[in-house]
Amino acid sequence: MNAPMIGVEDLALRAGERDLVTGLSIQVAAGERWVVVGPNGSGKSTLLGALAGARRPLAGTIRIAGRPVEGCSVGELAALRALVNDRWLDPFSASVLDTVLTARYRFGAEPGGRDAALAALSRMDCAGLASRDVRGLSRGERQRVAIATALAQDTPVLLLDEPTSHQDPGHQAWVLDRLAAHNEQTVVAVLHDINAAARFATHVLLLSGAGWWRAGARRDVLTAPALSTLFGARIDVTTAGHTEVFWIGPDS
Amino acid sequence: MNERRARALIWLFAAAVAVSLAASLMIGSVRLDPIAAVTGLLQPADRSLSSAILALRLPRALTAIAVGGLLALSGSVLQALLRNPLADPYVLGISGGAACATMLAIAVGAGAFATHCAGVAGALAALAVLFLLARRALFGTEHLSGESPSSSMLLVGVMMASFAAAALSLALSLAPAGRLRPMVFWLLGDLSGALDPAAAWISLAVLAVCGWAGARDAAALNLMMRGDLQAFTQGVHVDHVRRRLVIVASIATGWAVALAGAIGFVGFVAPHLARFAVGNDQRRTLPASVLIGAALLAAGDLAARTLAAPAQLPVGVLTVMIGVPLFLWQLRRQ
Repeated sequence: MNAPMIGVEDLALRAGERDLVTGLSIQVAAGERWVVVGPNGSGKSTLLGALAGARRPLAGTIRIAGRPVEGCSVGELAALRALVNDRWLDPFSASVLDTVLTARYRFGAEPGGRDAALAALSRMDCAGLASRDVRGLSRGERQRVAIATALAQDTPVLLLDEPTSHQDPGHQAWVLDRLAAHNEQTVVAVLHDINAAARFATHVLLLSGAGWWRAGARRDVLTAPALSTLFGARIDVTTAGHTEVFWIGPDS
Repeated sequence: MNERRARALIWLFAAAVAVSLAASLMIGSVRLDPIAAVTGLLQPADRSLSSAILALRLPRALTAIAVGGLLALSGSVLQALLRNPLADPYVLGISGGAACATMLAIAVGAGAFATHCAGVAGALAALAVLFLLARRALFGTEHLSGESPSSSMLLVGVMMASFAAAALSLALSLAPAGRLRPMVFWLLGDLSGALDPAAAWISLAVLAVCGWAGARDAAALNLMMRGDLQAFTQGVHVDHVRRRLVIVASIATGWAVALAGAIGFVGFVAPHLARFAVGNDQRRTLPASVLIGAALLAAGDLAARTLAAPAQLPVGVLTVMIGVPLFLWQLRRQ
């Protein structure tokens, strides 16, 4: 069997005095799309931070492409994974193209950077924005530019922290489908919308924030009883056509 | 921003520095024509009037260029590093340390050289205090997923600057009456004491080294402007870059203040003018900012010693008076 793209072994994460998760072990194979689901403050972003090598876990090891994240240099990590978070900063005006071009930093001075940046922009339906000022974009547009920036980094692993929080329902489905269609990248995403998660994920990790977790193929893990326990609300599922639709029950 | 246009503008700013240098050498109580100025420069041992005049004007003009460039470099780096367009070279409190030490030296009647040395020592002491008080921001790693270290560094800097301002007021109120005038002039920013050619050339060398160090990290700074976590994931060693740039900005500010006093506004406005002209790519903003600062201070100092001749005005007052209208005009054009 091939080595997993991301291997997490016996991971423990803590925020302040709170144990978020203990003993987490998952194997993410190349090309899989994992979605992390859990209540607010359950450590989803903390987990992504640890996977990105930006946060040191309390215990356990994380490997990307077989290499322990803690032993990688900043430059080596930049070649392995890109991260989209929802806290982009634009203190000074800059063009969208220049913003996406920051992702090509790891390549040094290269002639192809501009083309790669433009290709990433058009994959996020933002080709027409290239010369606009990032500070004049809507939040949804800015978020798609942030995703395009991560794509332009051209890494085998993509980490997404609520990548569609500012998208309208049409764009949310479109963005996730676009990312799913590009299946040579391994994706770990935090999503709040369960139905979007069901549509996008091949695998799901449920994080309770109190140490308890479950991971596995989407069909096995993303079930109404598990979600009800996770969120402490009655969550039901109905079938519309071939699609399962999760909804919050009336007596929750 | 068109790259060729930006490059052309940077050459234009370099030409502005050259023009203000030439004007500073030729204009004064005795006017020199270009030929006299060139022969005076080429034959400094010549005992002619022009070489005697140039011996006075050249160090002062070069010092003005170096100090303007250093302040602009520091302001430009700090505005990007702190992600705050209101930042200036004095925001980290380094100049406060330099100013306190210099004031003390003037108050006890030290000579020019000892005063410069005291200023540099004061700046380094303030830098050490900053690193000590903001060490969690400068050496920690937890900030990547949490609060930005810039704000805690900024808070420490503002507190140090406030303390230094109080100490300066105390020094002024206790100083003997005879030394008050040089102290006040120094506080306002003054280049009339810059007569030492060695100090001027060393200052240009400091500018070259600081500029080189800043330019090395300009590409990384472009990424850090957009957030530490983002820059880290894109391959920037954010802690190292931040520490290096804080040191570069501190040395630039400390040296400039020790040499010419707290000249206001150049370090704030030059980066803004540079951004208006060439945009926010630090690889272009930094050199443009240095050149604009150098030209602005050289022109300001020329005005300071000629406008009310034979009296000399403090250049710090004039830089603000030239800079503010220029800045507001650019702001309106945007």
